[in-house]
Amino acid sequence: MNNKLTGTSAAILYAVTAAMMIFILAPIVLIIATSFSDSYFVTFPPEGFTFRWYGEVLQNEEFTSGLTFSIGLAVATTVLSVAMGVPAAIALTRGRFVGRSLLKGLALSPLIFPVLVTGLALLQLFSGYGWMDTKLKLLIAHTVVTSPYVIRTVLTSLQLVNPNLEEAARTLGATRWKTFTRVIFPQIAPGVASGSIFCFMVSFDNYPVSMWLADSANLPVPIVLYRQIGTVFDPSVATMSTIIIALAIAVVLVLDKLVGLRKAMAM
Amino acid sequence: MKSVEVRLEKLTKHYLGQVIAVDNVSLTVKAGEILALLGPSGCGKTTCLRMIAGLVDPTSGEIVVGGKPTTHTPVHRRNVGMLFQNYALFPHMTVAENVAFGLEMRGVGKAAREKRVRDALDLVQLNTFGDRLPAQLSGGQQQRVALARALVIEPSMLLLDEPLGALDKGLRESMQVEIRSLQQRLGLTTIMVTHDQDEALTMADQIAVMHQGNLEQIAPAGEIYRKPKTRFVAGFIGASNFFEATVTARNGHAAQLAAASGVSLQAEDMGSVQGDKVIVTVRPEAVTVAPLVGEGQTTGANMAVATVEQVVYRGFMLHYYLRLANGEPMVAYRQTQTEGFGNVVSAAGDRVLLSWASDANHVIQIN
Repeated sequence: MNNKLTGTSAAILYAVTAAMMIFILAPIVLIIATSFSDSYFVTFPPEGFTFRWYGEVLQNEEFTSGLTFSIGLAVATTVLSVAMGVPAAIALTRGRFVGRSLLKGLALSPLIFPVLVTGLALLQLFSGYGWMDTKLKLLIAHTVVTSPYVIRTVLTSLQLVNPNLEEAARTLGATRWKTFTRVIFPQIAPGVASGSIFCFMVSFDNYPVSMWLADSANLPVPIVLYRQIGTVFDPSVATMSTIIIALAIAVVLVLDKLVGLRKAMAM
Repeated sequence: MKSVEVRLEKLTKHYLGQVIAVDNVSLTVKAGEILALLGPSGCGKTTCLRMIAGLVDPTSGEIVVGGKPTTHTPVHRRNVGMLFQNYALFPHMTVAENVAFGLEMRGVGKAAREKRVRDALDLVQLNTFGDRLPAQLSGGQQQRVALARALVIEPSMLLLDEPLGALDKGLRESMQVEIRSLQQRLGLTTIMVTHDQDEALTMADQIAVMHQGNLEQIAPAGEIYRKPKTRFVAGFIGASNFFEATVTARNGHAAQLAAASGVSLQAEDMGSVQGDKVIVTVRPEAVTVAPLVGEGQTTGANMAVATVEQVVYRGFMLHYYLRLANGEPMVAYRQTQTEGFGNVVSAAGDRVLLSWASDANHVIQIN
C-alpha cells in the first residue's frame, strides 16, 4: 500500500498547504517582527532591531498588572471550568436520566451563542442582583463561556473509554471515587488537558465579555491592549502581543509535556 | 479457595418502558461448578450476570451467595472476579499493575502484593509479561491477564461475560479447556454467559437456557441435549426435527403418536408429558438415510419417505436436507463412513427412506 502523492497533484497539494501556512502565520510573524522594530511607529517592513520596546512594555504598569490579572483570571476560570465540566461530562455520558440530550445541548450552547450577547446578558443579570465584586463577576462570566470547551473535550474522550473498564475496577473492589481517580481520569486526562488549554486561551484573550464587566481596577490584558492602540500606535502594542503569544505557546508546551496533548488533539 | 453456592431466587429486572429483561429466574449453582447462561442475544443472560456481579440492581428477587443474601451489597464489596468480552484491562497500567489493582484496593501490602501478582501470572503462564502494557499483548494473552487479575483477589466466584467471543476458533477452544481446568483445580464457582452452545457444552456442568427473559430449562449438559424441555431448547441446543403429533394410544410410559405430516411415531418414554397434543423431536444424527427400494415400500412407525434436497459435505459428517411428502423439512446427519449408499453419495432429487429408533423420539409438552 503506497498512498504517497506524486507528480502534479503533489505539487498542487504542497502549494496549497504552503499558502495556508503563510495565510495563518504571516500576521503573527509580522507582529513578532514589529515588536523588535526600531522606530516610533508601526511600519512595514519593520526597521532596525531593538529590545527597547520590551524594556518599555515591562515597565508599563498598566500592561503588567493587566497581564497578571488576566493570567490569574484565566487560571481561576480554567480550574473552575474543569471542576464543573468534568463531572458534568461524566453525568452526560454515563447518566441515565430524562432530558439528557437536552441538557447536553444546553451545556454546549455557549459555544454557539454570540459571546457578546452572553456578556451583555450577564451584565444585566449581575446588575439586577446588584453584585459589586468585579473579579467574581468576571470569573463567573468567563467560566460560562469556557466550561463548554471542557465539557466537549471530556465528553469526546469519555465516549472512547471502554465502559467495561469502570465495571472491571468496581468488581475488583474499587469504590466509585477510586475508580474515577485510578482508572477513568488517566483515560480522559488528555481530553481534560486540551479542554483546559481552550479554557485558558479563551479566557486569556477574551474581549467581548470582559468589555461589559471590567472596571478600571480590574482590567484584563486584551482591554489594556485595546486602550493602548487607542492612544498610541507604536511597536509596544506588537511587543505586548508577542509576549502574549509566547505565553500561549508556553502553556501549550507545558501541558504537552505533562499529558501528551498531541495525542489528545489528534483524537 | 473456599467454594460457595450461588442461588438466584425469583430474580427479576424491568427496565423503564421496555420489555422485562429478566423474569422471575430462580436457579442454584452448586459450589465449585460452572453454570452457563445460554441463549440468543437479548434473552436476559447478560443482565442476569450483571445483577450477580452487582453492576445492575434487580427490580425484585434475591441473590444468595454462600447462604448470605448479597442483593444489596455494593459491587466493590462482593468479591467477584469478572471477565469481559473486551478484556477490560486498564490500558495505562502494565500487566503487573493491572493484576495488582484488586489487591491494592484491598490494602494488601507491597511485598505481599508483588508475590501474589507473580503467582497469579505464573498460573496463566505469563510470568515474563509483567512489565508490558496490555496493548502489546495478543487477545488471548490479554484475556489470560484479565483472568489472573480476577483470580488474584481470591474471589468467591468467577463471572465470565462471553470472555472468549473475540478470539478466533482455535484459540477459543484451547482457552475454554484452560479456563475449565483452572476453574476445576481452584474449585471456583463460576457463572458464564455465552450464546455459543458448543462453548456451554464444553465448559459447563450445568446449562441454563434463557429465552426472552425466562429460564427455559436448567440441566446438566448431556441431559439438556437429550431431554430438552421446550421446543426452544430443542431448537437452540443442536438441531432438531420437530413433529406436531397427537397421542393415539398410551401403554404405560410408551405411546403411539400420529404426526400431522402423516408419519406415525412410537415413543418409548413420554416422561411426565400430559395431554394429547405434543411435539416430538428427533435429533438429526438419529435419523438413518437409506435408498428407497420401491415407491410402494411400506413404512412403519418412525419411518418416512422423503426427497433429498441437498447434501452438504462437512468432513466426517454429511448433512442431508430432506423434504417429506407433505412439504415439511427434515434434516439428517450421517457419518461419512456409515453412509447408507456405500461410496455413492445420494444426490438432490433422490427418493430415500428415513428411519430412526423409537428411543430417539423425545416428547415435549405443549403449554
